[in-house]
Amino acid sequence: MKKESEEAKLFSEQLDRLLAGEEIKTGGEMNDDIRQALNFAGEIKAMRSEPSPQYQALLKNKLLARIHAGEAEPEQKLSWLDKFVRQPVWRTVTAVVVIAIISGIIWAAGFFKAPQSPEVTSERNQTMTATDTGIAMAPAPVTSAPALKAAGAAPPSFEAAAVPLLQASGTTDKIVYTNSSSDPVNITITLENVTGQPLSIPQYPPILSLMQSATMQPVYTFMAGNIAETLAPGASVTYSVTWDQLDAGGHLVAPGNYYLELEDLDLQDQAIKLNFASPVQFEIQ
Amino acid sequence: MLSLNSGQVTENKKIGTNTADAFARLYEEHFTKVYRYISYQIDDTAIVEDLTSSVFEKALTKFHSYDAGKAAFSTWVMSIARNTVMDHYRINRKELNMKIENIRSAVPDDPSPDDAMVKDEDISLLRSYLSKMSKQEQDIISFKFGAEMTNRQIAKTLGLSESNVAVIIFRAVRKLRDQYRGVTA
Repeated sequence: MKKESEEAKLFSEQLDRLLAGEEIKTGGEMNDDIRQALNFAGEIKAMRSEPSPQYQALLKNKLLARIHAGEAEPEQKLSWLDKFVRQPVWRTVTAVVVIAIISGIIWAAGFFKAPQSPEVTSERNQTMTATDTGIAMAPAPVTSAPALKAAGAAPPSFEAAAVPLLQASGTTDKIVYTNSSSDPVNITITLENVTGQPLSIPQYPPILSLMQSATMQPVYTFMAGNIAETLAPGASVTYSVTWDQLDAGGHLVAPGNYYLELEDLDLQDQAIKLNFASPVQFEIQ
Repeated sequence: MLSLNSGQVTENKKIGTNTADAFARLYEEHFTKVYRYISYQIDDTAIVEDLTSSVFEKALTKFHSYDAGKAAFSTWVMSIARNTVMDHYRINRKELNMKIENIRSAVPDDPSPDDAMVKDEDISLLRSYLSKMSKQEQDIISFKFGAEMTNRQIAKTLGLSESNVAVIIFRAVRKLRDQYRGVTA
């Protein structure tokens, strides 16, 4: 065991030299096994794929454009007021107040005056479950949703979208969990199209982060799905994910309070804020 | 002002407080490592590029929450990369298994005269053997050869001891060599 550990150390030292493009020293205590392993390590290194410079430059430009456009401008430093406002509950309150004000303005402007013959459309909601092996869809009860605008209206303008386009709500199967990966957190999330037009989500389900309340840092993030999902006006879609209480490094997270956070959605090349209607929180003990 | 970690702290003055400059510099420094890390585990250039994009988009979105006091940027961004690859596997597990079977059955008996094609096949074969190893071994090999991380950085990322990482690398390389030689001999 000790011998293997020493050999592994010797191998690692020479491997680092190999990866750094330096000459490796094969003399001394090095046996044939280590020498052959180093030769093969050289082959593994030679086999690696290199990115194309065009792709590297293209992605860099795209990311920098996002920063310059202010869509993802990171904060330099959070003041206590920023931190306070960033609490999920205050985000929700702020969103509700803003929506109420804007709705009042729109209502006062007369956009929502009832039409002569109100048009009502029926849409079938969908229930979607994301599992480890794929996505399964099943029909759910039919609901009615009033059309906000007459037929033939222009698609919604995302630039001027101050009201939510998608209403997100979420639940966990319990409020308190035991701090163990054998007590997984089952999360169900519903997204509802609250506009009067069909909405297409290019990457469904959206990115979901498990946030630690104490640090407000993500401990684990479910990446976006690769399904394009279109929601009719008023339609909703529900999916489930399971979190095993392991962080990004595969370690069990610390006990404490956690909450869910959805990342912005990229709709028609514009980042759209996606907040839960009410905070989804739970405790790990 | 963003504070970057370790060696980057001193560089922070040079790159200034501009977020775009800071992110661009970190991107240039870590892009190839992230790409290579993913490419050791994924056998489709388009998907490797998609996942690499996803890693940096997540990094940009979460850049404000990055705390240099908790981890070096390289450790942070490679954790995002690892998480992204794991999620990809989780979503595409069935497809991945099929791919591995296809690679195995597609390995020709005679070497191709086209060097590029031979290299592609070698890479695919290596990935197929790598994919049969434990997730920990896959990560460590990809971190080492793709991201060129030190054993200390890998140990910190995965919560292992440095000597343990060294032993796992040594064993994994020999295991890969034996499997690879068994086919290509």
